[in-house]
Amino acid sequence: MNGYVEAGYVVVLVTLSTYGVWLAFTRSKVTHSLTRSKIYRETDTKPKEQ
Amino acid sequence: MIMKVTRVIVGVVALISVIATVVLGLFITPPDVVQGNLARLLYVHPPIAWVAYLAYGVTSLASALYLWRPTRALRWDHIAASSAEVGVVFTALTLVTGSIWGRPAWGVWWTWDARLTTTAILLVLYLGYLALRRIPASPQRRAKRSAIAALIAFVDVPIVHFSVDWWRTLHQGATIASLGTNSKIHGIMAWTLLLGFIAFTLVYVWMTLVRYQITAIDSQLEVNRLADWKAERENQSEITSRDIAELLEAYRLLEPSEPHEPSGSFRPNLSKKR
Repeated sequence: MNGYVEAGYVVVLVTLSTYGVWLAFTRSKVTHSLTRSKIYRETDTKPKEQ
Repeated sequence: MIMKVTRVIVGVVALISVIATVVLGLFITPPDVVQGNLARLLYVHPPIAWVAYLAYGVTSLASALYLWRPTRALRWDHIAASSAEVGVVFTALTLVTGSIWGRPAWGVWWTWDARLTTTAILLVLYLGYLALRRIPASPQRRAKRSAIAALIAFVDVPIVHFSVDWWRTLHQGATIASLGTNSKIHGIMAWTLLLGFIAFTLVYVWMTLVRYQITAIDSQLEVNRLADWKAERENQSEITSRDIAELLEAYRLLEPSEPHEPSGSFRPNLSKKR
């Protein structure tokens, strides 16, 4: 092969895997934030309700 | 739970099919009679371009559903945003892989060919769409203006597709559309190309699902933050008015029993009231 083909495949695979990993990481981060937010809101509001 | 299972299954199948496409495209398929090994890039370039079209199609459909009153819901806006972002990644990859193929095939990295230029415009339009979404506004206002922008940007998609028919271009005409009827691609090469289409479509589905979840959770977090901020503001204002009342009371108690005439202009009014 001539280098261009390999370069094309590398660009595609590296870009998609980097974006995929970033998506998975961000999803995990926001899910964690939401869980923390829920815990905070629940613990913060319960005493007021009592 | 169903969403999680779907996401995992789609992700695994997408990964396997991409690996299969790469193995078939790089090592199993024979070199092309005319283009030689360079044709191997065409197992990824057209499928990636197709995914970009698909992504913008989904974005405009979701945007139209948001704008239509009976179906108006923020989830359509979240789907539109998620699909557009994935579409931008795939459009950029379309341009890069096309450029890498163009250098040895045409002798240039870039030329102002109709297909290339309209694709570059498409990328800029949807980057603009994503930029528009970052302008601070209420979720409803942002969704409405983004939906209108997405529908306007989508006008470029058929222009990109038919540019090879409407103008004289370096880019080759429709090849994939003739598959099955008057096919110019044969055997394992056609199957590899088909697998490429399936693989990258699955990658798009997985990415859009994950991006949608992120957008939806982000939106929920924004609502929570706003509610907390509002509650905090209300508490603060309660404290302030109570403080002011206490301050006024303290001021009244501290006043001498026989008020004297002060030199200031505001005191006489208070004395007159009392």
